Amino acid sequence: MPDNTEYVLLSYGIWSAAFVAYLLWTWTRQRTCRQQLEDLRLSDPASPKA
Amino acid sequence: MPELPRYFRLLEWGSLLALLGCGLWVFAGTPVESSQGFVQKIMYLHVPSVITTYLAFFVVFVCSIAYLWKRDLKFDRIAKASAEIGLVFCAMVLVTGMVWGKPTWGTYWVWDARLTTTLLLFLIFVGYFVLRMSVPDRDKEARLASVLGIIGVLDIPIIHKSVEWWRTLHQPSTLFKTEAGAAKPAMPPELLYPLFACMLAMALFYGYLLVMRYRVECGNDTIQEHIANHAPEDSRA
Repeated sequence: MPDNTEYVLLSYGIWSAAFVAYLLWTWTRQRTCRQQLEDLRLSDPASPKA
Repeated sequence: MPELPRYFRLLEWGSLLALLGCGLWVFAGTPVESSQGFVQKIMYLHVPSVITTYLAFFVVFVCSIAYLWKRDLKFDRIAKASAEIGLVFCAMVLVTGMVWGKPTWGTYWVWDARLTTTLLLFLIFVGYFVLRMSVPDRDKEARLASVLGIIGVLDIPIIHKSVEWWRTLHQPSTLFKTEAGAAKPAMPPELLYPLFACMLAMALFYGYLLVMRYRVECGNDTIQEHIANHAPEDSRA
């Protein structure tokens, strides 16, 4: 194995983990927001659509 | 929440596949650099993250000016979405730089001009979100955040020039060097082309994240507006 492989793996690992976590968080926020808009629409037909 | 643009799925799959493809190219198709060895592979992650951070904060700069000029919350939503993504990329610049610094400089961190000004940029945009959270009025929030966003982005030229203005441990410009007044590539094409590909892939990924975050911001503003309009009379003041 080449020298300093652990640093390369650590960098790529941290970068990938951070963006997977960020993507999941953003998808969750998107889903929650869509759900809230849908709830508003059901409770008040004059409210904006999801 | 605005409709998804027609190109969204293309952007989603295109950016994710481009990132994967670049990862394969970096590890299977690029030579091991002679002076640093295998650890130089971190460059393909670090430098494109830097460029994407600059891109994200440049969008904040442009949209903040546009908001202050037009007073249209659409620009503020784009600025907020871009600032959040820029902050994540900036954190990755700091982290990958630190991990790269250990085997090459012998330390994770030095209070070097390039590192310190990059940390300052990160902290300014942490402050940008603290400011947003502390102002209840939506228009005032947008106005103050726009001013801070513009001031914060002014740190980027200082970061970029820091390796020329001060004596630093950080290497000079990675992409181009100036020889006899002309800019020339600072590395051979077999290292430069994959680096450009990684930059493009990360820029696409940024675009994908920006579209998603902008939609969330639009949805949140609609919900807040609805709540404010339907609040009981005595709680509106």
